[in-house]
Amino acid sequence: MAIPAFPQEQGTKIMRYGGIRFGVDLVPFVGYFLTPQQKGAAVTADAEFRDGWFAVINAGYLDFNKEEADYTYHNNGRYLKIGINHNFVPREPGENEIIFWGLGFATSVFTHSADPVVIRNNYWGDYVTSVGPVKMRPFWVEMTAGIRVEMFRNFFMGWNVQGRFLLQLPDNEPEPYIVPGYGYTGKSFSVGFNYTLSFRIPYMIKVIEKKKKKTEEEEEEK
Amino acid sequence: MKNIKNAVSDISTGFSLVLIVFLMTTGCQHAPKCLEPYDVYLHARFVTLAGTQEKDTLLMNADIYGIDREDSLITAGKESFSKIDFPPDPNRDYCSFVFRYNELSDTLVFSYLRSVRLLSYECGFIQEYENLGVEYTMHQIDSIAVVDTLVSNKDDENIKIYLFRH
Repeated sequence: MAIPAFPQEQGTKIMRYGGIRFGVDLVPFVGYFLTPQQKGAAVTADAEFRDGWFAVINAGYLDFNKEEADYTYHNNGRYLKIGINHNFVPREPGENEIIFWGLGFATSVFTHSADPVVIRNNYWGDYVTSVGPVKMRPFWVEMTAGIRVEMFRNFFMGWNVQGRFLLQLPDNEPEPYIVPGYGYTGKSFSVGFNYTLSFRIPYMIKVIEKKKKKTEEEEEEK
Repeated sequence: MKNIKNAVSDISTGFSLVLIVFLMTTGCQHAPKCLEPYDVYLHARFVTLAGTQEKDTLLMNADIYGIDREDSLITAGKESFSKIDFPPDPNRDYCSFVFRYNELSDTLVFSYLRSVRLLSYECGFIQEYENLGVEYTMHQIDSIAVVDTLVSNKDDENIKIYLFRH
């Protein structure tokens, strides 16, 4: 579907509320009820630094435990993501709904271990040992797309999906089961999802001077 | 541009429902099963030399048991065999076995370095044994050749036990 151009007169000044927006990702909280072995939280902040362009920062932590018959796996760490989002839908003055894509870079610092590890042996008897803890810092790139809606003045709800491309996973043994912020490490690509509620502190008013855009009617008159 | 706002709101509502279904199905997923072999044995083969020719030797009524485990034969239920799997002791850096055949006994002492390795998170961890070495008495045993110094969950042969020809 083609989106019509938004005609404006030359020299029009558009007043738009700006400011830093702080949000909380609800997915870790909802996920906890479905998979109690993982606890986590994630917060986000973003600000429009240019018309339609947003600087974004996400931070979070994960505490993951996996209990199996022969071992118990622990993973605990933090992650940080920075990037930019771009709104690709024209907006009227005062409108804060956006549909966006984005690109980001992320890293995580975490420690993981397996303790206890039981080595089964029917002949000589079982052996109980442990592995780790091992500290790691992987990096990955994220592509994102999503929407955000202003539910009430300065209160926003939004979601976005992410495709994550793991750049580097350290060689340390053992390979982690999960990387905080990235997800399960079976593949070098993972998919993520955020559902955020956020509040904007409207301390700034942006004044944007739009250049004249010729409408189709004006073209025809010529 | 009210239409955009409405459309965005509609998409959000729809996606919220999709999210709930997604999370519920994700939470109900079953873990994949372990398809890799889990057991770790030291694989041995008995051979004799006929000139320069190496020949598998079928042993009848031979017994093998671990020292301090006289009550538990690793050859139990086997009337004849030419290959045997020795279970390494995961609690120590060595293990010893007695090989009894033709009313004569030999002792084998295996030494190694233990290391725990993650097989996969579905299968769990296994203990491997590196730098395999062996010492032995020579009543029935002529010599032992270490073919592969890594004892793992693979089926690769680790040692060949050369017996005296009778």
